[in-house]
Amino acid sequence: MNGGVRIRTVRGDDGRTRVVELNATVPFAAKLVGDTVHLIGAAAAPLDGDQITFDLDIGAGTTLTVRTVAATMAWPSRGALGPSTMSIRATVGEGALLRWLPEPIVPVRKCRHQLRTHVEVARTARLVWREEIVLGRANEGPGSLDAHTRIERAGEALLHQHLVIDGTRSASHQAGSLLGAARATGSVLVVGPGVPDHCATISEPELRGAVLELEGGGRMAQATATSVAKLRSWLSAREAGLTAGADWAAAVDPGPTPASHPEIPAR
Amino acid sequence: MSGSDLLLLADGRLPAGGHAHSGGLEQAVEQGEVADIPTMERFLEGLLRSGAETAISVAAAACAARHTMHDAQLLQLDVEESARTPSAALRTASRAQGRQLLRAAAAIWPAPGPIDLPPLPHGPHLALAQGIAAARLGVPPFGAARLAAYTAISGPATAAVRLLGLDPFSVHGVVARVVATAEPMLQKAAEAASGPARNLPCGAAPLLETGAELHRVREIRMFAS
Repeated sequence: MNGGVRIRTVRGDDGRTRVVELNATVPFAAKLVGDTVHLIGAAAAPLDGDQITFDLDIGAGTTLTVRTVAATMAWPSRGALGPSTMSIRATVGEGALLRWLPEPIVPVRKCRHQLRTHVEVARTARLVWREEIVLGRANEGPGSLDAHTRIERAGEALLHQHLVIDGTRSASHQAGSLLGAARATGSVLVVGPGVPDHCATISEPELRGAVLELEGGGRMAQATATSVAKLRSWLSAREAGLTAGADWAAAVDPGPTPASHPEIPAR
Repeated sequence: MSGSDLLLLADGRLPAGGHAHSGGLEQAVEQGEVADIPTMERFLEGLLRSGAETAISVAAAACAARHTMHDAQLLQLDVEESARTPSAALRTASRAQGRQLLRAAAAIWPAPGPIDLPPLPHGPHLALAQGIAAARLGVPPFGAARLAAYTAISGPATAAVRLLGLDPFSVHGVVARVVATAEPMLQKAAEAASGPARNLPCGAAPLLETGAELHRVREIRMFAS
């Protein structure tokens, strides 16, 4: 199955965000409520060989929040059609604010799933990006997940990571340097001008986490936990701390674009 | 190049500060992730899928860039390695070792004069410094990759001997095994050494990244990282 969601926003003359394109195809449906798009899984997907693409073009000076209404389950593969792939591409224009706050992804035992994330953020854009992975359903090991993420800010690499959940018998992700015995892992990345200096660490047997300060600007709260509930609760508090203040409520006027200010000829 | 130069660079007794770092192992012991030989071996295998693999490729690429006088590539490698190292504590540890390694290399091998670096805003990462030092000694990118692999694995392993009192013969047996499994990776890194920096391996190590921050705020610790 090939499907997905395309979203495009532009800033109206009144400064408000207009969602000029909201196009969802099976296995997803989309519903716009205020400035939030809710994505609704409308079929058992992703499954063998599915190619699902999310394409987000967040125009300069616009605000959008995207949520999914339930966890995304990557279903067991029978193998003939190759792995399923979910690609997320987003560009966030000057002054714009994108909050990508999906529910967790669950690589179900025996699945083979790929997650590809590529985000380009303009220098003055703001981004809140959540990613949570639950390692299999209750009382079951995980399937195989290959999650590749690259975030660029003003054209330069900000975050580039490749996380592998090894659903085979060797379970290589259980190394004490990678995920150990964690059942859930996730992060909330906050990028943009004026990210609050929010610091936190937690070190308990059931939850380990820290707010990481990225070299290219922005902060990322990252944690591993024995349950998704513990993970979410800590990450939510970090998200609140990292997005405190009026700046994070809505987009800002990106200012005049070069096109609307023709050069004044020299006298 | 003399064959023993690379051995000297990789020697844990080189006065370049490597012995002060455990590569995240001390925190892993504290968290109960590493307690014996098998869990230490898994820890090292995990490194080879994450930070050590990146380091191997950065060292090879920096060495190639130095051989071809391609300073702009060194700046790109620096940005790309930092994007693969979200923990500021890990970046600080890497750069402290990078600076010390270049200082040591310039003093030990004074010819052909001071080591000049492109304007790296925060100083060189360890793997970048390893590539630069290796190139200065005429070592090819494959040798630089080997240097990065060996130090990334042997550093935490010898720390395990000190922290857990593990049998040093068994520990070094593990080092020999794990480093041997990296051979294909070294070959790949050498072949891709002149490729785009954005294609460098980027394996994530969540426990290592968060652990580095937790380690930094601990009051009592034996190692700097």
